[in-house]
Amino acid sequence: MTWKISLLRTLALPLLFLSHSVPASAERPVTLEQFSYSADQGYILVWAGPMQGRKTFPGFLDFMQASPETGLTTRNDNGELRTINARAIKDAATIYYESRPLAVRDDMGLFLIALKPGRWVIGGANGTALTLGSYAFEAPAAVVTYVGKVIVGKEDGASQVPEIKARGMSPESALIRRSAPAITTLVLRRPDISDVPMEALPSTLRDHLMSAKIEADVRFNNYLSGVINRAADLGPMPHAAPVPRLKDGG
Amino acid sequence: MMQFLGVKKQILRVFLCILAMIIVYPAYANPSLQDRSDTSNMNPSVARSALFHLDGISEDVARGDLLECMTASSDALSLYSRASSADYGLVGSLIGGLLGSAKTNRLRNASLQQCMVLRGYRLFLVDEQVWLQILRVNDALQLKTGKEQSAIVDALAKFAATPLPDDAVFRS
Repeated sequence: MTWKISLLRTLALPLLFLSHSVPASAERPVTLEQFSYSADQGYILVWAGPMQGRKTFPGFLDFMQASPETGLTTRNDNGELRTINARAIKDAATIYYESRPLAVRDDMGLFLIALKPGRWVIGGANGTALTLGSYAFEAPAAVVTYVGKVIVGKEDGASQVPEIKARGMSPESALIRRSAPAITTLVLRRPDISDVPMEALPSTLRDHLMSAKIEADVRFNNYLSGVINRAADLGPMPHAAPVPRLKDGG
Repeated sequence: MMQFLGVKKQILRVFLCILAMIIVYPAYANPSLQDRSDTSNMNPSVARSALFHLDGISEDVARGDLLECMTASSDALSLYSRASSADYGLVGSLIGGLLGSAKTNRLRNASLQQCMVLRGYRLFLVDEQVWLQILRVNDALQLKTGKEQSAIVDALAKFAATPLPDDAVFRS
């Protein structure tokens, strides 16, 4: 039995690699040993899970820097759009399957990421891009921006989170899973500083902690070229503006 | 002896990991093969096409929803599908996605369906023949840019806005 589990873990790693690549230069969570404070950098602190009882994050959770003007993520110096699969992306941060949390509580891991200051979006998880609606926040320099709790789940009806479970229980969801069985969504529990265990933070950061001002229902480009979705706690998507029928020959 | 067996097991694990990476890497390196959806439950021999319906929606709003969702789904195209898009236009490419059962189209089909369902539409998956019959289109795959392409969106929008009989049995 043990060797079977071991074999599955061995094979799972490259499969995860295939399903959701981590950009070479994406920012990743830091451990206390790796940590050094810089006033030029921004920091985000987030509870993410469920950890499924593991020591590292069991999947991928992306944060993408997004332009407030265009809504687009990951632009290079020439202003061209890049996808997460391109090399040399500097505007991405990913909590992934090797990321170790600073603390674990209620099967959620507390992750700290040092990143470029600016406007960030919760981009998506496990190969699904939340382009149809997600959350944005500012991460200023020299501040630890506490984002809240991000709970990720597959839309297969098995999630413990009511909003995610409800999505997976609809007859339509069952039909869509025929094409995309692993479609994923998430919910954000808004930040409350009292949720942060101060003792888990590097001492240099404790005085710089602030709650993120969350902007809800933010849309952006499909940075992953993956299947698209919407955060489960945002409710239904509003309708588009009406488009009249073209005249014959139009 | 136990120590020797332990080392052997570690070597086997590393070997299996390298083997799996070798199998997986070509697909990773070639973006056209990157399809993040697990298609193990999909029967590729069954071509399925989507119809959407929402009680009380106007045809114009349904058209707007369809076009916006098609645009949002277009970024989920593989390189193969992007080439199609260059040849036949965005809508033509997405119509190909609606009809096709190829692996590269599933991602955008799922994206379009998810986008419409999130707007409250009911989803009907039917086979291609029924789909063409309901929309009264002869061969949507041969549509070119311009009038004919908007005709297929019009047909989808009209279906979405037309009241369905209580005994509608499109769901497969």
